[in-house]
Amino acid sequence: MTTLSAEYALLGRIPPRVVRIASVVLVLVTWEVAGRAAPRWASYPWEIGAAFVDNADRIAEAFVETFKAVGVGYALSVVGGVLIGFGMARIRVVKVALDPYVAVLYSTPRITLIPLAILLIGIGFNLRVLMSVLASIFPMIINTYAAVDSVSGELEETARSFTASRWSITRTVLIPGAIPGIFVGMRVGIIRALVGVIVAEMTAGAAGVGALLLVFGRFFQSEKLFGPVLLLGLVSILLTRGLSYLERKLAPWQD
Amino acid sequence: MLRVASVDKRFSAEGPLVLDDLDLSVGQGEFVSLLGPSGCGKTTLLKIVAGLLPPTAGKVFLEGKESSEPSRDKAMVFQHFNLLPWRTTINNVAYGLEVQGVAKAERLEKAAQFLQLLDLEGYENHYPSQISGGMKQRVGLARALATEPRLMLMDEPFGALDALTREYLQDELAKIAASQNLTVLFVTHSIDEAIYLSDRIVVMGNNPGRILLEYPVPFERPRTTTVVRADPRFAELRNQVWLLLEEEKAGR
Repeated sequence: MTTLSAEYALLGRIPPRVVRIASVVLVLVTWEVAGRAAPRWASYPWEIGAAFVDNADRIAEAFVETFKAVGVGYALSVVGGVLIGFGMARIRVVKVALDPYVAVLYSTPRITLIPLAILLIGIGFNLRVLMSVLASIFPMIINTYAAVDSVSGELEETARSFTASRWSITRTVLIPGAIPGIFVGMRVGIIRALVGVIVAEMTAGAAGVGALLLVFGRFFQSEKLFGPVLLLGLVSILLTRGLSYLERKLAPWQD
Repeated sequence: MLRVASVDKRFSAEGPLVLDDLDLSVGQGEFVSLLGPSGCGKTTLLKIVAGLLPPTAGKVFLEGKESSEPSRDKAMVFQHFNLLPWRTTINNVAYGLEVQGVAKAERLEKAAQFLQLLDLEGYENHYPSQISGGMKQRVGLARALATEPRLMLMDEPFGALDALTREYLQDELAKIAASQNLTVLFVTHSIDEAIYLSDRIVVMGNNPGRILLEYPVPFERPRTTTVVRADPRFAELRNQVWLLLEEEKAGR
């Protein structure tokens, strides 16, 4: 008890931002010192930074390649997932017909589909798009479905009681009601779409960040591996933050 | 004004009879409460009158004309408020008018007028998640009133509120109903609430849902809960209704 409250008291005096920066600096310095002492074992921050700058062209090319696939796959997932989610929530036959596919595909580890997908469509751009769609469309479908379904009962009835037509129910109840669910799906989906593409690239090894990492790994170039990985993490954070910002703009009613 | 004629309701062809040959009428400017135990079909009856559910047999007439769909001359207030979470107070109040095709300037003006009537000024731009339950139901009331319906349908509108807020809103509704000369069909399972508010109490029984008895309420309107409660006729009427409901329960 006392140690816990003592810790909180300490935190109370030092601003969290200072603690955060100190923590990062401490780790980097320790890493640098340890890495220089045992250079065979692992690279260290300075070397990693230098390797990143040296390979900037290759890394940039790989990122463009990867994010082209992520962009196409994610866009397909968002549009397709919203339409399918809406359809399943509003049209009974669509739900009954699609339920088994969603259930089976959602619970199958999608990485196991890669060998089959390679046989069908090869190892090119299409494979990466397919894997990102398979990774990200299910959270889109499921969250859109849940959101539309939840406003389809009482709120729809309320709208009907005020003589709302089908179209005005869609416009004033279903679409705004779906927005929070769509955003949940989009935030989960963007990360999955990225993972899907990277996994495809690491398995099929044709191009992109996944393939580049494999190459660096095979040649024991650990100093080159860290940079792209960190950059991927950074881009993911920016993308989810951007989506959260967009959600606050488009759906300001949520607290 | 409102006439419910021989309405039966089953939810499926072989399902039990939820409403059995129900007849009811409500006069212009009258406040009628439907009172009964849960499961007696009072909400189902209200939804049939609203046009949200079709009756299995029988008809609903509004001013002599059959009324089987939602229409502009009816408006409903719901137990769980059913505000649209993505609309601010003023846009929720204007909602009914909006789907009824009233132009924007006009509906906002009407909405502002009813916001004022329900003491919601200053909360125009709040979302439902930012206001209390009592205020949400004021918005629900304002939304229904703003469409200026000839018949107000209220489904246990104060059932989800705390006791104190409920009493404030009962008094407020009593005042508004009198000043706007509203015709109201009000569903409740509170005997006290039915007595405070209505001109007439229609007591329903269970299995199948049917009307047991009707009681006229002997107090002048407008009235307040405190005045009604202090009157000896309140306790007497309350007892009568209570005994009827007890008898009905024992008889089954």
